[in-house]
Amino acid sequence: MSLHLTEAFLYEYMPGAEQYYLSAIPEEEALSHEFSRGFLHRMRRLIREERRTPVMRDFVKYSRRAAVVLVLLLTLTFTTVVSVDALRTRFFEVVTRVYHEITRLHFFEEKTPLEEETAFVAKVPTYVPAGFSMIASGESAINYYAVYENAESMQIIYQQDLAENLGMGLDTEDTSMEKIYIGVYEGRYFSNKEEQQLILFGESYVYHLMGPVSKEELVKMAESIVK
Amino acid sequence: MLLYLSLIDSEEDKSKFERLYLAYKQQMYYAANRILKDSHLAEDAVHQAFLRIIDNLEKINENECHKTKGFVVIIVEHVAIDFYNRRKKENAVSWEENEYVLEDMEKKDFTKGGIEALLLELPVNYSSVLRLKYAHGYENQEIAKILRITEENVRQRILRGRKFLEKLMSEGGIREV
Repeated sequence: MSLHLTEAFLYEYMPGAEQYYLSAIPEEEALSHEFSRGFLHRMRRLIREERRTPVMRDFVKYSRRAAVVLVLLLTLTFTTVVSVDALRTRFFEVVTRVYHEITRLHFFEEKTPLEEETAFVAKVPTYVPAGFSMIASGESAINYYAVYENAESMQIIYQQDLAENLGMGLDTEDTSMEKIYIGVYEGRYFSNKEEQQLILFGESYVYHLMGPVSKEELVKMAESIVK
Repeated sequence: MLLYLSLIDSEEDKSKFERLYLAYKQQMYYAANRILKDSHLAEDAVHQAFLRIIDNLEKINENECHKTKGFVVIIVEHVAIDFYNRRKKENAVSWEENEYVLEDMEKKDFTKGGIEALLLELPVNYSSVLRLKYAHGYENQEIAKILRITEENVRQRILRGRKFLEKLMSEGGIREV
């Protein structure tokens, strides 16, 4: 005899079944997993991002149109340029504006009309601060990323994007910004107590290094990438 | 070009998120780790799950703590299964073929009185969809959004999950529903 479950049956019994299912998971207080420092760090950052939200909301509240205007500005910034030099100039204009006006912004450019497409070649740092080793990496046709971690679960994140296909998140709240040069390449260094970021605009790529290490260490990593 | 302005919309949601983190992180880790059996990956799954929870904060009513626990457990299990399948990818096992059943949970006899225990026998990818639909009352479209899968996928999992349940109940000698 075949059996057919009705919707009514499922609606009636599933809440109880779920309770039974959940009862197999001990109460929160009875569990005592010691989360790694890396996890706690990431969660702190996530919660901190939420705390930033009122700032972002104020920004939107200031003028709902501002967001649209900024999107248009960024679009125009990256879609009207025709050379890497012009793109570099515009890029830092936007970085500076973002730094001064808002605290967090992700912007992505799928494609810009540069005259010639550049084939992506991943550049891996040959210098990594002592104690850090690569735990993850990945590459696509337009970018490369690597994550380095030390024994204390502190992480350095490296991202390399084709300048023509830029996708980058900037986190500039409570930071100071400084113009720097690595060789002939211009960059910006953002610093706060917990985390440092270095953005470098190379020949065809934008490099982004981020981690809880000193400026000197990030600069050494950047040098090992572009030299 | 995308402008990513904010993750969370209100002060109320913000504090709710922090409360959820404090209230459920251990249980979420437990739920993820019993699938992944890897502490590092389980922590990654919990972190990913919280990122998804942010997108669904408005669906969580803290006053209904059982439902809240059920909801966050479904999210973290779903992420953990994703991780589990990614790890299995080398063996070319597809999502649908790879049905993960929890192994370390106490199971009751399939008597009509213990019908709730059947849920433990279901592969997690089916049971999570069934729980969202029949215990939490979400429509297929909402489930698709919560789990970041297609509506068609939701529909298929419900169908397969129901068939699986029917089979289990038949095997357990339950004939009338």
